[in-house]
Amino acid sequence: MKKIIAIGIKDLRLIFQDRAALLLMLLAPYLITLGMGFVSGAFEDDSGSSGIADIPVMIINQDGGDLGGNLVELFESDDLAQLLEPVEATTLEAGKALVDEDELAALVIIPADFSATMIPDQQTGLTAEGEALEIYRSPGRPISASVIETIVNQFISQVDAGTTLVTVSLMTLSESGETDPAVFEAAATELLVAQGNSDPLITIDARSGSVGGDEVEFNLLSILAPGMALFFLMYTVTLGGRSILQERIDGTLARMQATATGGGQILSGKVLGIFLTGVAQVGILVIGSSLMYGIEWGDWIGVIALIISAALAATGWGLVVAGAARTTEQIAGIGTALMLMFGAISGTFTQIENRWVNALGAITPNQWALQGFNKLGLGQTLADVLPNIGALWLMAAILFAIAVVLFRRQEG
Amino acid sequence: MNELILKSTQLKKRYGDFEAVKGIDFEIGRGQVFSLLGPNGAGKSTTISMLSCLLKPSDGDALIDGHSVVNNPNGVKSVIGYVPQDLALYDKLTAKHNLKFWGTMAGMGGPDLTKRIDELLERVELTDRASERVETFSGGMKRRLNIAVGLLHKPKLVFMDEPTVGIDPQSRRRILDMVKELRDEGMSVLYTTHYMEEAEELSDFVGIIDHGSMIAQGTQAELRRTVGEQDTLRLHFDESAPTAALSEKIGQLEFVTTATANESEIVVTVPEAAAVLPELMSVTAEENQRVRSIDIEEPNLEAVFLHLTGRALRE
Repeated sequence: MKKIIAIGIKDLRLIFQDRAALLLMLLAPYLITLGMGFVSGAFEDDSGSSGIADIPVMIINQDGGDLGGNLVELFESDDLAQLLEPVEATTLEAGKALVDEDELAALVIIPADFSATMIPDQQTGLTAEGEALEIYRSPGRPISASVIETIVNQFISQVDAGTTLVTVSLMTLSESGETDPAVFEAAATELLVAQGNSDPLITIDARSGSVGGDEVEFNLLSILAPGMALFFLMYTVTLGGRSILQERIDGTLARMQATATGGGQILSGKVLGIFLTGVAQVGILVIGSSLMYGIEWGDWIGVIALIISAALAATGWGLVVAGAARTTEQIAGIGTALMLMFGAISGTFTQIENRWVNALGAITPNQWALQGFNKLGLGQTLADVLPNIGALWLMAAILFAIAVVLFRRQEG
Repeated sequence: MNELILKSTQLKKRYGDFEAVKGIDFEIGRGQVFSLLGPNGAGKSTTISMLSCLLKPSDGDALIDGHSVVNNPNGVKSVIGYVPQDLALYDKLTAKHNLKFWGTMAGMGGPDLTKRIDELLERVELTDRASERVETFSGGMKRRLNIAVGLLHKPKLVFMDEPTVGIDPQSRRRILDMVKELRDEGMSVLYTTHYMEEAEELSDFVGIIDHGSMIAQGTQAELRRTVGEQDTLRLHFDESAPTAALSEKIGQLEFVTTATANESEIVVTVPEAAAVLPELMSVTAEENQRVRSIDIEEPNLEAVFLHLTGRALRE
């Protein structure tokens, strides 16, 4: 264990002695976050037309039930009054035209059977098939559209949680001998509405940060910064993976092997080094962005758990790249391609409205970690990001196993 | 030979059809310096890699302090020090951090390691540069640090693979002196080089390796005798000296191979000059001739290599 730690600490020390690497690992994410913040108006006050405040959005509610109305109420609520500027609903075509003309950041279309699909069948306990809630986004306002999508997603996830509660309650009702369908439907609707009323379907803390003396509501940088941190985390782990091959080229790997140090110990030490570097990088970015940009990352325990998990999964990718490549140039090439691809498909820069791309994003540590950081930023806790953490650990385990196979093949 | 620290038996390394090392047998006694002399690509580094357990032999074995390189590599690694031909250091770390890291890899730690690091920094004359990054060092300083790393755990046998390549004469001198000091302290050294003069200066035993085969080995004198090379003595007399008669008398001596008069000089070839010189001096004294000066030309290892392979060592 002493040798593994020594290798890990040595690698951490080496990375932090490399000025070029530090520029990309630490300075670049800050600068890009800052740049994107300026471009998107994150540093403007409420009067700024392109800022995060007053996002123009239209909701077309075709739902005859209560849930559609709840969502409309949420968008018009006082909590979101400064963030959103709901536009009076007209027709679907007119709404889309306004989005196309960039007059609206997004159009939220609540389908006619939205509430019905949320109420489980009293016999099977399953929800009915129906049209999905649609968000028609303005390509010119990706960040504002992402904010709206985040609000809608959280609404739906809370409705899902409510649905589970209803299902369990109806099953209890059924077991008690009740058979009248009307009773079931009334109870289901009542439960959903009651759940929605007693526990607000969405809570977005109207917190503020101070940048240059201006108050900024709902700090947009809290969406940008995690994305950038995770984007450059992929660079760091690739750099770490490259160090495995570099040690072979420099002869230091052979020198380690000439001591009574096992191959497993050496690889574990290298893994520890990559992991520690990743944790240090994201940790520094989190702390730095809190201090510099006033970003509130949310529940610190959740943040720490997510940083560790994201670094672990990213380390897995770094090892797979190192195991698959034959030269450091190959690692650099594959690593850069992977970093850019992961950034694109994980929604780091902008949400891509394509279910295949979104599904593919699930193979990236970025997507799971980004979702987790967004949840924490919106006030959720460690318990809420456990699925994200679980996915990252599962990803790490699979990638480590693949890396071991690849390294064995290399040695052979 | 002293008690053996290394015994190599038919050590081979094949890469497909190519045989890089073709069954090498040799032995090193404790406290001895054994030089493997040969041109680039002769198989020296491959041999050291097998003995360091970095490469698995295709055939044969070697015992180092009783441990088999095939069956007990960890036992071998605990008693050897490895100084690779290419500098294996972390340029971005300081000399001290490098030594600390490699000491930990060698299983050391705590005050013992700290003390040993200080000793070695002093030995390689880098104490005042201990806290500076290796990337700021000259080639010679890096070479010395590279050797210090190999000596951290006080190994019984040190493999030094061309440790003086590409450095200034002063650092080279320091390294050669250090190897002699290590030998005097009882450490055994396997030293590979293609510099004939280094092998001549350092070695108790020399092995000449070419195309993966050990083509000759022994003490330097033995090697010279093996190939029939002779020492040449040039005895210089006054111009009036009867060199023709004197050379005839010298030529009749049992240990003299040839003796030829050449004006005021007599050229004598003998198997080993140092052994016969007193006898020659007494013969000239008996003839009342005063030797003004003597030149001794010993055949060097370069000549031995040339004789054995038909090529110069650095071709």
